[in-house]
Amino acid sequence: MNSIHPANEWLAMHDTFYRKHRIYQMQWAELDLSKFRVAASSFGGPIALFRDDRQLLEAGSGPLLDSAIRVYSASGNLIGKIEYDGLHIAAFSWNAREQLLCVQEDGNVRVFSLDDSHQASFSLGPEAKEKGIIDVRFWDQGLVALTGDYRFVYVNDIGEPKPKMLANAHITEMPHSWTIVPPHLTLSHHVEVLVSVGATILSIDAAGVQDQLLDQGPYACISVSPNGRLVSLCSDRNCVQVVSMDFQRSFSEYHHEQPGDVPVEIAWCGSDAAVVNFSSQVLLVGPFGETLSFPHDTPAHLVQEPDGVRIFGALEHSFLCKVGAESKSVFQIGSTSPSALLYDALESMRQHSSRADEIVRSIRDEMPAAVDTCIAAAGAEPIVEYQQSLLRAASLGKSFLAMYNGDKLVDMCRSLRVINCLASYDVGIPATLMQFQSLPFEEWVQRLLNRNKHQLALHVCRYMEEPSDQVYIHWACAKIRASSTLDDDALYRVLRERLDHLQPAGISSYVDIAEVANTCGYQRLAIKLLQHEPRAANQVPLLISMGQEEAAMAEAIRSGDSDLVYFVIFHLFKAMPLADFFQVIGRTKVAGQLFEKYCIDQDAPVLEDYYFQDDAFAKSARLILIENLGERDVAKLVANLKVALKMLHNDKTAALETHAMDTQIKLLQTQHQLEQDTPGHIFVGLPLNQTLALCLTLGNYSRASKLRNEYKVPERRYYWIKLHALVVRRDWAELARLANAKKSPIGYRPFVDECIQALQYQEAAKYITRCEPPSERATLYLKIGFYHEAAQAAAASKDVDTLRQVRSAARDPTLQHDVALMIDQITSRS
Amino acid sequence: MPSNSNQPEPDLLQLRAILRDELISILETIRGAKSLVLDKDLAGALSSIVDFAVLKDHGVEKIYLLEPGPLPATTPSTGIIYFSMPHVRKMKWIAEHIRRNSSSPHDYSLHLVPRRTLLCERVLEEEGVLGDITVSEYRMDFIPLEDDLLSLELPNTFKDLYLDGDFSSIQYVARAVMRLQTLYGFFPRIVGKGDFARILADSLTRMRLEMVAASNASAKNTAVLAMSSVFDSVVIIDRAVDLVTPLLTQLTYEGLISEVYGITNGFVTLPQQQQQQQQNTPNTPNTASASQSPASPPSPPPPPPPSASGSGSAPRRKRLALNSQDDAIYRETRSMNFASVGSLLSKMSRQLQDTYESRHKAKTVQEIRSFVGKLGSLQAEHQSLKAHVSLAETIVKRTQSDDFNSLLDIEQTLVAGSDLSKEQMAYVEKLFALADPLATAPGVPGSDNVTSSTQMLSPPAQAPHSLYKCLRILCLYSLCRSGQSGFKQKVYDAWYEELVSAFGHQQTVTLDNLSNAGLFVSPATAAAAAMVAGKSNTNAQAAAINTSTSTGTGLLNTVAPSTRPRNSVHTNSMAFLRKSLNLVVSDVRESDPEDISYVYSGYAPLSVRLLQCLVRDPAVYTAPTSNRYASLLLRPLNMSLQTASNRPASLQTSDDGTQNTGGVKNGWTGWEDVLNELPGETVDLVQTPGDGDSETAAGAADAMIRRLGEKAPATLVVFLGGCTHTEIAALRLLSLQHNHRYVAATTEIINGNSFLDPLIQKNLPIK
Repeated sequence: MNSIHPANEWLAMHDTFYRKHRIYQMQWAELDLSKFRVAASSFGGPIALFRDDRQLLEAGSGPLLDSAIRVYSASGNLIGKIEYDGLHIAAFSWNAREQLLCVQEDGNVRVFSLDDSHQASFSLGPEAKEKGIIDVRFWDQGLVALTGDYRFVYVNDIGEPKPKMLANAHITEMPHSWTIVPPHLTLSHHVEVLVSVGATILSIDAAGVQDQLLDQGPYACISVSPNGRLVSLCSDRNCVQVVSMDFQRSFSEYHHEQPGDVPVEIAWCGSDAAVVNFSSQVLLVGPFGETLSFPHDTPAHLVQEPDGVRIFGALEHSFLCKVGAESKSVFQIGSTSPSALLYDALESMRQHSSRADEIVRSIRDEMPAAVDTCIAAAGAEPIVEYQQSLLRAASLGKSFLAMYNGDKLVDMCRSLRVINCLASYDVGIPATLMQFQSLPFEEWVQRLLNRNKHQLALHVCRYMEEPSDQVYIHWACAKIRASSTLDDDALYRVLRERLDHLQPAGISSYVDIAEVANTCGYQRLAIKLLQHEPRAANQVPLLISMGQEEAAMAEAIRSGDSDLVYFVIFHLFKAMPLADFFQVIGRTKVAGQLFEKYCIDQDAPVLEDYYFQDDAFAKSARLILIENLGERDVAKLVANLKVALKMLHNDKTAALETHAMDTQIKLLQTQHQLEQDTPGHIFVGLPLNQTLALCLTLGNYSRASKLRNEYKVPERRYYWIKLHALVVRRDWAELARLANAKKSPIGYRPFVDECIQALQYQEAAKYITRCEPPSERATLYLKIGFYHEAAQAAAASKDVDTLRQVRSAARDPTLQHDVALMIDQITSRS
Repeated sequence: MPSNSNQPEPDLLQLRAILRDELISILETIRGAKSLVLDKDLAGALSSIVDFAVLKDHGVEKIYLLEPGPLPATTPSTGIIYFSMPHVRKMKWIAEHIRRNSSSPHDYSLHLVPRRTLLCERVLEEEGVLGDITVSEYRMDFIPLEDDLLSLELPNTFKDLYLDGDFSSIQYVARAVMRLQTLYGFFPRIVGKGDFARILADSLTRMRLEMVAASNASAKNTAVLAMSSVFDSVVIIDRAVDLVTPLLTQLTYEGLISEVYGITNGFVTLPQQQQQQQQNTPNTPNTASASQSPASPPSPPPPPPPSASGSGSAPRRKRLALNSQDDAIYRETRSMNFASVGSLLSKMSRQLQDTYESRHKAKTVQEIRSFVGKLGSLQAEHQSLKAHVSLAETIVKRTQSDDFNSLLDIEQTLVAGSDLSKEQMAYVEKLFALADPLATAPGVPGSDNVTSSTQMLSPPAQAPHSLYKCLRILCLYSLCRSGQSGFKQKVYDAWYEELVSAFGHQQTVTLDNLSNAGLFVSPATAAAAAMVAGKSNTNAQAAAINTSTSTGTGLLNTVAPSTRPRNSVHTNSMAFLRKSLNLVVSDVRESDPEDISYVYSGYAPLSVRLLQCLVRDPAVYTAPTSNRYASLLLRPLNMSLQTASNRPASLQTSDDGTQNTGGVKNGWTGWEDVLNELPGETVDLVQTPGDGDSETAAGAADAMIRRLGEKAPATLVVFLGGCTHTEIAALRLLSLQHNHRYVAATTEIINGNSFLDPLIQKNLPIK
C-alpha cells in the first residue's frame, strides 16, 4: 500500500468533497500549449493540436509548428497526424464518433477520421461562404457557426448536413462570447444559442430572438450545465454567476478578486458546480458561492465530461469530480458505516487480526448494503489498488451471505478490467465507469479500432462476450488499405483465411469491406467479397458504383424490394445508351414492367421508343389512345388514331381492338359532322350508344336510324336506347310508332317500366295490354293505380292474390265490392 | 367476443397510439407554426390516426392537399411538412412548389409514407431540390380500424401487383407485419396461397434473417427474436386466389353500406337528404363536427379529413363514423346479413322506447336519479339508432328494387355454376343499352365529389347503370364460366363491342387491363394460356423446388405472378372448388348464421374457406355425399379415422374438451388437390426460434408449433390486394365459433367497385 489514501486527495467544499486525481503525466515532451489551438474530445477521447496561426511565430521554433494537425491520445502519445492544406480553420472539434470536424473560414467543413478511413466535406451554405465563418460551437451531432455578419448558421445532423439560419438577432458587433444549448436540452428540441451582447444575453433559435434582459455583462464565457437546467456565466469583471436556464433566478454569485486573472473558459463539473479556467488557476465554484482553487503554471484546458471535468496542461492530465456517496461512506475519515467497517475488516484480515471476525459480525443485517457500497465505491475509484481492495472487501462480505447474487461483483470486475485497460498509457482513453456505462459497448470497441488496436479490441470483445464482427470488418478494411503488394486474389485468400480461422460462423456483413476494396482499386476482390453479403439492399448501390449493372439488377430483384430495382433502372437509364438500356430492361420481365410503370407515372415519352423497339404494337397503339384522350381537335385526334390503327394491324391477336379503333375513327368523323349539323351540342367523345341517344333526344330520328345501320347496332339495343330517349323527350307519338312498327324485340314490359319511371301512367297503361305473359298485367296496373283494369286482368288470369291486393288498395266501394265478387267466383270454382 | 381471460389478447388498438406518437414527433421536428401538405391517398388514413385538434395543438395552422401547380397562397408560417406516398409524380409536384417559392424559402420537410425510397430521393435530386428539403419517412403501417381489423389503407394494391408488376406494396406489408412481429413475437408459422403471398413470405423470412444478423452483430438481444405466444400463425391470402368474392354484392349490413354509399377509412359519406332527417340532432356523437380552423382562408379548399366534412367544399354532405368502439348498435349489426338487420333495429328501438318509458315508473328519488344518470347514454344510443334506421331504410329501398334483385339473381346463378338464362342475358343487355358512362360508384375514390347527371336525379335507392355494375357481371361471368366451354367466344366478342359502344373507346384499354389481370379473359386467350401453362407445368414445378431449396435467384425471377391456376388438373376448376370447398350452401339461416356463406346469402367466400381448410373446420367438409367425397373426407385425418364417416375435422379432437379449437393446424397437408386448382404458389413455412427457416414437414418443427402455437389465442389473416367487409364478417363469425381470434390485416378494404376502379381507363380531362 504505497499509494496515497483516496481521502487524501479529497477537498472539502461546504458539505461535499471534490477530488482532483492525476491520471497521466503527459507523454508529449513539454509542449507549449499556448502556441496551439486545442480540441479535446469528451469520453477520454483524443486531443487535436494545431498551430495557432493567429499568433506570431518565432523563426526556427521546431517541426511541430508545421501545418499539420497532430492528434494525441489523452495520455499525450502521438496517435495521428493530419496533413492540412486547406484554408484557415475557424474552429475544429471532435464529434461523438471521434471524427475531427474542421470548419474553414470560407464555410467549408472537412471531416477527418482517426484511421484515415473516412474523409468528407460539406459547405455551410452561400451565406457562410459570402460572409465567412468566425467561430463555431459543436455538439454531438451538429454545429452552429457564427458568420462574418454576426448571424448563426446551424447544421442539425452532420451526417446529413442541411445548413439553416437561426433567426436574425441584428447583432452589429462581435459578440463577447456565445454558447449553444444542444437540442436534447431545450424545450423545443431544437438548438438554441446564447450570445453575450452588450450587458445582456440574447437567446436565439430558428424561430426567434429573446433578450434575457441582464445588466451585468458583458460576459466573457457562458456554459450550460449537462442537464440543461443551469447556465454559468463569467463576466469580464471576473464575476461568476449561476442562473437558471430561463435567466429568471440566480443561484450563486462569486466575485473573483484577483486583478489580472482573465477568464479563459468555463465548464461544469457535474450539474452543480461551475469550473472557471482563469489564466493562472482553475477555480471550482460551488452552488453556494464557495470555491476551490487549483493554480497552474502552464496554460490548462478543460474538457467537460458527464461526471466531471478533465484538466490538462503541458505536464499533466487530471480529473476533477465530486466524491460519490459510496466512496464517502467507505473512505471518509471516521466513517462508521457498514461498508467502512467491511473495508476495515479486510484490512484486519490481511493483518491476520481476529478483529476481522468481530467487525464482520457487527455489520450483521447490513451486510448486503455494505457489499453493494463497496462494489460501487470500487467503480468510482481511479486507483487500481484501491479498486482491488474494495472488491476484495465486497467478496469477503459476500462470503458471509447465504443469498447474494454475485453478478454485480462479476460485472464490476469485468468492467473495471476493461476500463483500466483503456486507461493505460498505451491506449490513453481515461474513461470513468459512469462514462463507460453511458456509451454502448460497441462505441468503446470502435474507439479502440480507431486507434488500430485490433488485437486489444478482439480481446476485449471476447472477454466481455460481445460479438466481435466489427473488429474483423475493421481489420479487413485496414488490411486492404494497408496492403500494396498483393493482388486481388492473394488478398482475398489472406482475408478469407484469417476471417474463417477466427470467426468460423462468418461475419454479418461484407459490404463495408467490399466498399473499401472498391475504393482502393481492388474491384475483383470487392465483387468476390460481396458474394458473401447476405443483405441485397447493401450490395446494390455498391455494385452499381462498380459498374456491375447486371449483377446489381439481379441482386435488386432478388431482394424483393421494388425500390432497389427502381434504383438500378434509374441508374441504367441515365448511364446507358437508350438501345442498350432497353435490351437490359427487356431481359427481365420485372424490370421491364417497373420501367413501364415509371414512365407512365412520369409521362415519359421514352416509353414510345421502348414499345417500338420491343415490337409491342398493341401497347404502342394503346399508348397513343391514352395520350389522345384529352384531345379535342378532331382532325388531329383522327390522324393520331390512324397511326395507332396502323400499328394494330401488325398484331393479329388484337382483332377486337383493331375493330374498335377502326370504329372509333369512323365515329369521330360522324360525330364531327353531327356537331356541325346541330350546333350547340357536343358529340365528339361520346360513346356510340350515347351518340345515338343524343340524336334521338334531339328528335333526329332519321339520322339515328342511319347511324344504327352504319354501325350495325343490334336491334334490341337500339330499341332500348330509342325507348329511353323517347320517354325522356316525352314524344309519345313516336313511342307509339316504335311500339307498333313491328313486334318489339325487347317486349313491351320495358315500355311500361320506362313510362312508370317517368311517372307517365296513362302512357304506361297503353302498353300493359301488350305485355307478356298476361298474368303480369294485373300487377302492373296495380302499380300505376289503375284498379279496374287491374281487377279485370287479375280475374282473367285467376290471380286471387293480386285481386286481394286490389281490394285493399282501391278506395272505390263499388270496385271493392266487384273485386270481392270476383274473388268469390274464382275461389268457389276451384 | 368470448375471451379467455388467462390468455394474452393482442391489443391492436395500441398500434394507433404508436402511429399517433410518431406523427406528433414528426410535427415537432419543425419549430413554430407550420402547414401540412397531404397526399390525397393518405389524407383519409391520417385522419383516422389524429384529428385536427391534435394537429392544431402541435402548431399546424393549415392543411392543403398535394396537387400539381403552385402551393396555394404562400403562408407566413415557416415550416411546410409534406406527407406523401413515394410516387415519382408527386415528387415532381413538390419540387415544383419549392422552385416556385424560391424567393421566400420555407423550412421544407417531406415524410414519405410508408417508406423513404431511393427512387424518390433520386427524383428530387434530379429536380434539383434535394438540398432544400429534409426527407425522411413516416412509417404508417397497419392502422387498426377495429380491434380485429388492420389496414394499410393503401389504394390500388391489386392493380399494382397483377397489372403493373409493381411489388412495392409487398415490401410495405412485409414491414408492417415485421412491426407486428416485433410487438407480439414471431409467428411460429407462415402459411398462404398465391404468388405474392409466396413473395411476401420470402420477404418476411429475409427480414427476419437480417434482423437476426443485425442483433448478432450488435447486442445480444434475444427478446427481439422471441416466438409469439399471441399469434399461432399468419395466413396470407393473395387476392388473386379469390377474385370472385369481391365482385359479388355484399349482403351484410356493413357490406351493403359499402355497396350503396361506399365506406372510406371507416367513414360513410351521406348526402344531404339523409342529414336533414337527423338535423334535429345536432350533437350526434358519431358525426365529427366541423372543427375547421377559422384561420383558414376560404380559397384553399380544406381536405375532407381530418376536419370532418370540411367547411366550404361540400356543405351538402356529411360524414358518419362507422366503428364499433363508439357505436354499440353498429357493433351489433355491422356483420349481420341485411335481411335480419331490420328486425333487430326495430327490436332495439322498442327496447329503447321501453327504457324511456321506465321514467314513468320511476317513483322514488333514487329511481329518478338512476334514470337521469342513464339519460346521456340513452340519447347517444338514440342518435345512433336514428342514423342507422335511416341508413337501413335507404338500403331497403335499394334491395327491394327489381334492379338489385336481377343483379343478385345473376350473381347467384353464376356462382352456383349455371349459365345465365335468357331473361338474365336480356337484363345485361339493358344495362349496356341504358348505361351512364359518367356514373361513378360507391366505394370509388372521388365518387363523393363527382356526381353525374343521373346520379343527381336518381334517389340513392336506384343505382345508375354504371360501368362498374357492368364490369362486375362480366368479370364474374368470365371467372365462373371459363375453363369449360361455358364462356363462348361469341359472347365475349359481343360484350366487348357492347362495352365499348356503351362506355367509349377508352374501354378497350380497360378490357385489356382486365384480361391481363385475369378478370375478364377472352376464351381464346384463356385457352392459349392454359396450353402454355400445361406445357410449362413441369418447368414451373421444377422452378418451385429450386426456389424452395434456396432463394438464390430470387422468386421474382422464377415466378411470373399470375391469377391463373398453374397446376390445374381439372378442366373446370371452379366446379371442382365449389364442390370441394362447399362454396355454395343452399339452406342459409340469415338470422342465426351457422356458416360463413350467410354473408352472400348462400355463397361462402373462397378466401375464408381456405382459412377454414387450415383450421380444419367441419363446415368445409359437410354437404355432398358422393363417393368422391368420402375419400375427400379422409384426407387430413391420419389422427382420427373413426370419425371420418361423419365430421372428421379436428375441431372435435381436442383432448381437454374445451371449445378453444381454432387456429391453424398442420398447414396445408391434405389440401393439395384444392391448392392445385388455385392460382399461385403455396406457402407453408415454420419459423423456429433459431436462425434460419425451413420448409415444413419436419416433425420437430410441428411439435414445436404445437407447443408454442396451440395456446396462442389469435391468427393473423393477411389479405394481399384488399379484402371485403363480408370477408371480415365471415372471420368474425369464425372467431365466435372457434373461440379464437382471427385478425384481418389487409392492404385496403374494397368492394367490387373499388376493386375494379384502378383497372379502368379514365377519360382524361380535355387538354
